[in-house]
Amino acid sequence: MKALLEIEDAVFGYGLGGIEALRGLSAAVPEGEVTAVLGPNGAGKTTLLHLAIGFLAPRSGRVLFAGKELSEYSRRELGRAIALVPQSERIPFQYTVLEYATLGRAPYLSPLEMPGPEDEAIAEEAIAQVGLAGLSKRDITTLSGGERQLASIARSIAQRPRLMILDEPMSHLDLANKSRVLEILGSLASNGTTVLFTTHEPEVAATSARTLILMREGRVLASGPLTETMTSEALTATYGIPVRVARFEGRAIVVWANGAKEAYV
Amino acid sequence: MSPSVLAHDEMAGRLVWGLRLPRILAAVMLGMSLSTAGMVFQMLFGNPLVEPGFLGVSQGAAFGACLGIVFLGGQAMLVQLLAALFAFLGMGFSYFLAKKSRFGGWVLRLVLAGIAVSAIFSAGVGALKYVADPLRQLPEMTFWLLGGLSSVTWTQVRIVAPVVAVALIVMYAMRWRLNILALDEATAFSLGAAPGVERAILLAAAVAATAAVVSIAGIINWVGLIVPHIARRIFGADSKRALPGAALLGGVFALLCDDVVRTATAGEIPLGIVTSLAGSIIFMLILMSRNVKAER
Repeated sequence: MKALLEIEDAVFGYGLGGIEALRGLSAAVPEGEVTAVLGPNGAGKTTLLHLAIGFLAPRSGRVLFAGKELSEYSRRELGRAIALVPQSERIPFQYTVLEYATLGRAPYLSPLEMPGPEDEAIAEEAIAQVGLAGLSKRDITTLSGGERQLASIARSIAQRPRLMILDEPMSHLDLANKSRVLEILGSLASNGTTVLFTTHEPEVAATSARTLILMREGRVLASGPLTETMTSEALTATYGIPVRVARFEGRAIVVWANGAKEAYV
Repeated sequence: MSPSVLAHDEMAGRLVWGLRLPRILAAVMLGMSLSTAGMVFQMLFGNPLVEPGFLGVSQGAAFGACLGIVFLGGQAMLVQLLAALFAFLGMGFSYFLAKKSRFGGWVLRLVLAGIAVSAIFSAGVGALKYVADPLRQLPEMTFWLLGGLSSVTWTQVRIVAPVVAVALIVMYAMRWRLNILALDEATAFSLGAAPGVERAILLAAAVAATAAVVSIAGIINWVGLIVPHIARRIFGADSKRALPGAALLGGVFALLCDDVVRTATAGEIPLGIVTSLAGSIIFMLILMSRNVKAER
């Protein structure tokens, strides 16, 4: 499978002389699939995503999208190619869901242009796609956490990107909303959109992703097809506690040690 | 007064053309500028409780004007120029301080820098008050600090109007874009914006409009905080409609306040007192209403 996004030996540190968040990280995101990034807090997952959208530039190393370095794209080209759903979107004003989803059309408009009826139609379609069709006139600040997350995804769908990046899209969601988001990500991938997301839940990754990237301390420990990377050894190394991967009705389930570190492995 | 009087009565003509009209134009420019700039500030900082006087702009202008009054003879033009200059200095200083400080997020740093810079300038204003001639200079300073349009002339309007017009056009043209810039930095970036550059352009336009009108009207509080709120209530949060709405409401609000100022008593009440009173009452009503949001 061809890689849509490739990161080659990226080094990145916040501030001058600060410790490096990424220390020679290499990873590839295959086109048209769902890829999940797993790793403990502070492993550099969000930094990796910010590198992938070009928001941060690596101190050394390269980030390639469709074979070209990100710096070769204009701001708007990149906006049309890669969308970001941040971990928890701060929405300070009381937009309607439709107004909010229409913001996804920004990369198709110059800074002086306004969205037209066709942009709103695309946004409406995206809202329907995430299952919020009836809520497009609602004040977004009155929605539940799960619905807000879906609205953020709708905004990114309206962006019509080739690559959709989501930072912990399932945190704070209940099981039903989790499964709804996973379903949406799956259908996006089957329609040709590449999906890359981070998560703290190995089971979420196991259920939805075909490719897995395991990170620890700014490096990739392992990456590749889920079947090869979702192992007890790899997860134990990733999280630094004993973790065991078992199978239940064809799905991977993950059991981890409690504070007493009893031996699962 | 019927329009035909203007043609015959020279005194009436002079009153209307020479005094009332420039004052009306100044009031409308004042309200439009402060409200539009307020909307821009609130959206750029993602905080609905920010106003154009934020970032040391108002206190900077006040210090500049007082400096002109106390040490440089208080000539009107000079006072205006210094007010505008120090408004920009105030913002520049706040911005610089926020860039240099290593504490919290960008918005928090800007807020703290703005508070610090405002405090320095207001200390400066206090010191100038202390050394000012209590008979000649102090009343002039007080009058300027309370704000008002009673001494506005055509010359002032002519100087300020182009600045206000350009700044308003820039903010109006980029009004939908403000929605994008109100989002988190990384999100705005991922939507194809260049947040740094675009925010700087809008911030400069907002401060220019504020500095221009403050230079002729003195410190006018609350307009820039309250009017954008009311505009969002009426026209919705999307700045595509809310920003022109704020400009319209602001122009009307300032004109009405200025009419009250002129006619309520035999003398003139300073405009800043009326806008503060009306504005703060509306503010309290908004605070007590149910759905106020103040995140960040």
